[in-house]
Amino acid sequence: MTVKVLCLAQLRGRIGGSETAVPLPNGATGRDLLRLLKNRHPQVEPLLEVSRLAVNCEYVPADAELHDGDEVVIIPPVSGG
Amino acid sequence: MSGESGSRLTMDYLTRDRIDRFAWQQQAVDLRDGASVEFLGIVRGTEADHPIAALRYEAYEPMADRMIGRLIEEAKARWGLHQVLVRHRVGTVPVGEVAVLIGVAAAHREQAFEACRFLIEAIKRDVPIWKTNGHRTR
Repeated sequence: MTVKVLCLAQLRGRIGGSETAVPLPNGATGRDLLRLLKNRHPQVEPLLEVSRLAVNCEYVPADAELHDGDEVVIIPPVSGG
Repeated sequence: MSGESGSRLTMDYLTRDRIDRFAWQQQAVDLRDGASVEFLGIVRGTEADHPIAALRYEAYEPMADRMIGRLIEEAKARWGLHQVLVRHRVGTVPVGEVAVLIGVAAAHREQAFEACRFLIEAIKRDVPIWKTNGHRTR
């Protein structure tokens, strides 16, 4: 399966473009995706370590199973207000 | 979707326009309410001890807008609020201008203070909005 990964704010452009298609084995979770991204992009590992994931505009826990076609947004620590 | 991309759906709580700092005070008074509390987040003239001209705010807009809407519903239910106004600006916000405005009205001050505090803290903690680089003055 393939998920679409969107990187915003501090992560923008640091994981190969703001939007990247990432192939994953079926049944992969958010944690699996993060692990793969950390291996591929060790320079942003500390930031990925403190980022949250959102699917369909909702935060999801790291152990949530991902599905083909999901748009997964990586949300680095927020700083609005 | 991001701070600067093209077309998008209408947003209820995020705005690219200047926020009128008197927007809350201009709301009609609801006679059930005896307390009104307002929070304004204003862009300071310095960031990490350096003078700046503006801050840039970026949001994951569809999610941020939806989350703020839910937080408002939660606050209304929890503190029995009748009126709530939340606006968060995205894009470039010059120093001295309002980045976020929160207004709440309730029957009594305890509810109004608590709800206002809840909203700003939840926004700062959970809503996908980021301050990106400050624009330095020369």
